[in-house]
Amino acid sequence: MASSILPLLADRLDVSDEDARALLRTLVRELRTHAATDEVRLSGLGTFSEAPDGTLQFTPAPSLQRHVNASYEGLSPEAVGASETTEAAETRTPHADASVPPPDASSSASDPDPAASVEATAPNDAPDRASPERVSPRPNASERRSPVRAVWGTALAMLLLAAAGWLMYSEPGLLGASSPPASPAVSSAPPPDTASENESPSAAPPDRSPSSRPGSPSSTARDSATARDSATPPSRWAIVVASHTARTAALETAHSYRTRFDTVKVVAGTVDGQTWYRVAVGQYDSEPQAEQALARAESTLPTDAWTHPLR
Amino acid sequence: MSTPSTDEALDAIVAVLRDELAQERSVKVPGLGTFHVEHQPAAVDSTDEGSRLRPPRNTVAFAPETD
Repeated sequence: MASSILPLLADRLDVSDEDARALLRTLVRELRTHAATDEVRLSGLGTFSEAPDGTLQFTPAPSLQRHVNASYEGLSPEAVGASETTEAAETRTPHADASVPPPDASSSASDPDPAASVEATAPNDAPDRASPERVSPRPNASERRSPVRAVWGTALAMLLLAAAGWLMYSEPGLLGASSPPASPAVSSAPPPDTASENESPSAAPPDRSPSSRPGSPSSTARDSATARDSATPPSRWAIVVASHTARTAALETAHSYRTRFDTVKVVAGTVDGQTWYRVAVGQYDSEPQAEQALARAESTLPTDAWTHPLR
Repeated sequence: MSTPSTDEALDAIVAVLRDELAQERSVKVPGLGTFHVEHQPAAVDSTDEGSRLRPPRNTVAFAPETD
């Protein structure tokens, strides 16, 4: 059921419904008069013209079409056979490409956020990228145990302090003045991060993770990627050059753009229940900057390349 | 509450239509017609060159008002 534009227009213009009706009547009359002899183009909306049979025609502006397709931007047709093949390959070897989490991972295909991004990485990164980006929101076992350890450690320390105090009072010459008792609380309760390093490398801070020891090239790559992601503002822009329903196909396309762009990402999003993987190149601070870059590189990019926000 | 200029009124009409259509709501402009969005779900197109999965799309449609 269509709703009338009148109350919305009155609200937008902060005028009464009657005033809005009068304004609209005047504008529509002008529009129809001009459309009878020529095209009338309204920026951001479209073009009105009169068909030979006298009926009014409307052609939406590209910007309006893009506006109503915000959820689907950057999606392009793809060969079905190819995607089925690549999906089947993924099913057979689910960890063959560990650079992208599986569909049930927290930030991947099942994520309803259309901009949940997955960095496309070089193949030699794969073994080290299996776990670090799937940090569970729950504390790990060692973290859950740490408070218990601290309580017992504190109780033990208090007992030891009481015993030491009793000894000092009962036998004043037993301890020298220059050697106060060490605090057992420090030594009896290991720091949580030390315990995490031993028991849960995936949840340890990056500089303590076994896979990020100095000199490990893959850890360097991952750390830089992580740092880049954390430093990325929540809303930046990229150019989507392709889309696929198979991750592996998207990663293959992404690799083909690596020599031309510093930043190439595969961005997963669910559209109408179907997961699409957009290949996004470049990174820009605003939509106009992305549009300018797209215009400059238009001849070398696919005709259906779109600008796309990275949230 | 001053009377809006023609440009302001046109800008407001365009803004209202864009906002409503982005929400996939139909809007009737008295004396002109009705704007609405038609949703085309993803579908497989079969041609001689093979099958292609076409992503979903929204299309703006316009039904002129008949006198």
